[in-house]
Amino acid sequence: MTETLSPPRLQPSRTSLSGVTMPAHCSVGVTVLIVHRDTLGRYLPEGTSVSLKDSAGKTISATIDAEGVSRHEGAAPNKVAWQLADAHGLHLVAVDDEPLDPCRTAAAPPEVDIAIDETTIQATYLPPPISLNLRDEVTSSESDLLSDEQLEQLRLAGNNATLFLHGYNVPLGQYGVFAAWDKRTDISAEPLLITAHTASNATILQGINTGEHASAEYREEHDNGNGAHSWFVHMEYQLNRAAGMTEEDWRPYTRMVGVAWFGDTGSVDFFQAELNAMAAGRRLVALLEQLDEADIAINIISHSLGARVVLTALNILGEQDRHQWVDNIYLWEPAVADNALVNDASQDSHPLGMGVFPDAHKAVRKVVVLHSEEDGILGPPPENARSFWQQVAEITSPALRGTRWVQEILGADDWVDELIGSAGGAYGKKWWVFPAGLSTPFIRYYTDKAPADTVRPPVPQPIPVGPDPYGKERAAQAWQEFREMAIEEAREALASANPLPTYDLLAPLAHHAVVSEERAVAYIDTLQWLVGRNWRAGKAPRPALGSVGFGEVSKENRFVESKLTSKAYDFVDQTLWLFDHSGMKIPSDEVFEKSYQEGIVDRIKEASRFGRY
Amino acid sequence: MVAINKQKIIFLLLAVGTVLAMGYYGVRAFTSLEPVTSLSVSSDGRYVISAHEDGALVLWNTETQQRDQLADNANLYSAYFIPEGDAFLWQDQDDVVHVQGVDGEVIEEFEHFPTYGHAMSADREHYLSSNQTWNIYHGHGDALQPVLLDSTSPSFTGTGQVLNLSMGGDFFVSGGSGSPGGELDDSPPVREEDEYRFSSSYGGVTLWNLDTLMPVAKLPGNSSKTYATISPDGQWVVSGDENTIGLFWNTEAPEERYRMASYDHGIYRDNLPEGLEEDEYWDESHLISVPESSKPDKWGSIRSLATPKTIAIAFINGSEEFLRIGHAQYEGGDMSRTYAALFEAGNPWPQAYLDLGTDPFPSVNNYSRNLSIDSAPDANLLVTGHAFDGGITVYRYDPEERTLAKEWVGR
Repeated sequence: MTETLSPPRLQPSRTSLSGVTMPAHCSVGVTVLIVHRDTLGRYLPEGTSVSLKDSAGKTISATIDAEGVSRHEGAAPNKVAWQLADAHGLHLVAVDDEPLDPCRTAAAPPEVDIAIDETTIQATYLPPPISLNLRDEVTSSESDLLSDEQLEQLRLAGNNATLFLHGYNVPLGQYGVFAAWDKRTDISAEPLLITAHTASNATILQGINTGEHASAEYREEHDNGNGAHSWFVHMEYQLNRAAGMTEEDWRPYTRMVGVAWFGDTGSVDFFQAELNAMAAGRRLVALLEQLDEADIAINIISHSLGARVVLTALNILGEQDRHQWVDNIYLWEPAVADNALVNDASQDSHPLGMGVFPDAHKAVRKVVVLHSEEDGILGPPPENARSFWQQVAEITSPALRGTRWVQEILGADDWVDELIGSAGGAYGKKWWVFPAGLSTPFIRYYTDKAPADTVRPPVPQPIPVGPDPYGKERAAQAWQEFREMAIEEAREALASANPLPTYDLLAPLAHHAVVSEERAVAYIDTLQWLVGRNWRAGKAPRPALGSVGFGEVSKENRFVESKLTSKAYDFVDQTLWLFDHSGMKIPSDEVFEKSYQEGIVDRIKEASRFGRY
Repeated sequence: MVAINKQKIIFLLLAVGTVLAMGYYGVRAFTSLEPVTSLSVSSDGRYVISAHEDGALVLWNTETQQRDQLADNANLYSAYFIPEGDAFLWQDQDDVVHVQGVDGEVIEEFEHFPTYGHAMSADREHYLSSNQTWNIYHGHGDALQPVLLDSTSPSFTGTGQVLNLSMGGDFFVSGGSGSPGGELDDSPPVREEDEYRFSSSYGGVTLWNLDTLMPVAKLPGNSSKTYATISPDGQWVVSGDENTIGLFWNTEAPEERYRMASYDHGIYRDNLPEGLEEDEYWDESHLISVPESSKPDKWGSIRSLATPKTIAIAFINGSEEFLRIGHAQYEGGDMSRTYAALFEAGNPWPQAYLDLGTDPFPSVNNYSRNLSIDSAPDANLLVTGHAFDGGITVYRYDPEERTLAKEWVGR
């Protein structure tokens, strides 16, 4: 970090664009030419408005031309500073080839010396962030795709794309704002220019792990945004840091593709979030198709329930025989069953077939699971995790147990997530250990969709009278009707010629590209069977992949064992250092080195590429 | 009066009880050791040297079953017995390495960097040491020479385990991280700092020539935290890792890699074409049954009590047989996976499963203590630390019966 207490003064180039070198003396009315490029060498878009302020306080605006130049005439000599208008995420990282801290340049734009008739300044910016919103309604066939400019950006940045998908209960949120100069400890004098508008929106991480904190008070949400945007900012920064970027030079900084999906279904509706994850996974296929067509290498990182989005997309690709489209997927604390990646749907212990993605493995070269038994959300911790005495105390005193529970909830980063996990007990209880874990969400889902007397069986009258006193016939009829509705939905979807139709009654099967009539019938039959058994599922639930990894399933499943042996499936056991379901968002040094650096980025670099590193 | 007497007696009993209990715990607190972080057995099996979490250095005599604390400032990973003699290595926390006899004689002392794993040949000609970022050096002082210095990754903090070094014949082997870190062919093992790779080209198991200090062969195929060792005669390199892969190589033809059989599924046939039935890829002709829990676990399944998730490998019968020891947590209800697999060198099939027991629980629960397990192959001894206290357990292997018996629990 620079030691000066005012914005850096930069010596200008005295060579004009025409190549004529001017003597350095004062004159009135300097013409300032700024050549604006991003770190990938592209000129900034033509027509972008640039507002320049000179030492006399005068603002001279200009727009960028086709050669990336903005021409500001009549500036008072001495020094100038500038900002872009309506240029989202283009943060200044170098002037005249000297690297600058973009958070600092946003708080206090560099003041560049200008002289005589004409001065040319070379300015380098980060390329804009790339994100995809799979939350909103699809409005056109283009809405789930990247723009041509974004594709070009990925092509130039190493011809690869690293996608990130957040987990459960993450709203869309928004970006933070750069800390202003007076909030920073390293700027004491008011800068010539104070940024506003889009130039003050921070699409990069501020103030964490950046050595000495520059901001007087650290304000996570203000600085780094919230919801999915906060995740994007954190993950993107940590991946770059793990790939070797230093604070001194942000020019190698690579944008990932942040994918937002509708997982914030309220703190109790995990099932609806699962359905939404599968719906988002179907939409993600279009992006993967687009990237594949553009010959851009794909790596995907997901957190928690984001794994269901990824695996849905891959299962569909696998079903469609689109093999090995994705180089690597990294499932971080995946909230899916530990046998989700077996190739045999009959091994699914979810009674309705939502647990296994039997064709997902075909679409990807390598699957790496980062799991931790200390996750706290996905499974019970190993028995010796807490000290012996702590356990004794908890056994003897229920009050202490309660205290620990409360402490864990209040102490967690994402307390909502923690609350669900703890209140439900853990991932297992969110699911179907207890019949209510299965019945409640399904009944809720089908309340307005299915005929009466199906998922809610008829209530027998106190005194059996009349024909069909127990409602059995009514129920049988209703189920038949329900079955026909499902068949009709399957049939219509097939007839629509849409390779990825949208399902409603059959949404729990949306990880399959197309639901056949037979599958639809089998699904309704199972549902009826479950209601008849008062929702008691036949098989015990599987532990979460994010908790136990492949350890358990590899013993009983040869396919997984083969994949592990050939290293097509791999895992990183983070039990010793990751103690929190969302602990990677703001990582400890240990999580950073073990999980990001050696768990993910080294592997991406080896088997594929991350940006231009 | 009677009532008062009764109260007095109760009070007295309580007081005496309290004093005795405090005394007992006081003595225990004063004499008990913290868990072992590294240990090493003398070739004849008579001595064990151990370093503990609090820096204690302890010499154990397995014959007289006594222990003697020698220092309280030992580098946690520095306890190492030099083969075929009575001398051991240790490093103090001022970074001085001591070569010391069991009789207390100091044979040699030298300053060095803080080591994370080191080893010395019987003739003391070769001293190998690794630092925190898993670079390997030969010699010390003016003769210090880098052997592997091409990256700072993988590392102790990155992988969470100490790099294990072992010597056998004219070779030495470095274990490591089988993650696909920078496997660049023909990359020099020693580079200038500004040309470091993002991850070492020799981060996986590597066979080195002890005289030239150059790599003989990279032995790829493992994944994540990997323990590798060489047989005392230098003929076999065997490895096992966190991701359950077990491999071995003959040093005469290191380009040929052999797979150890999966405990449950047998041998994976690498070279078959894709698209066959899953069972066709597996040869289970010589599988033996794996010990299992008597009751279902918390997920409702009967579990095998031997895990191929490996924390250490130890030759136990000269260069003929070795134990592949699994990484396991203590779990109640006899669910702990404490059975080690016995293998013959050069044979991929497990020959037997031998229990290390759960009381005391061996130090197999923590990868950062992977150096707390060692053996004296010719004396048929295996020694482990304890998971939850500072003791050691000495096991004796009977090559005739193929059994493993606890010989001494030292505390």
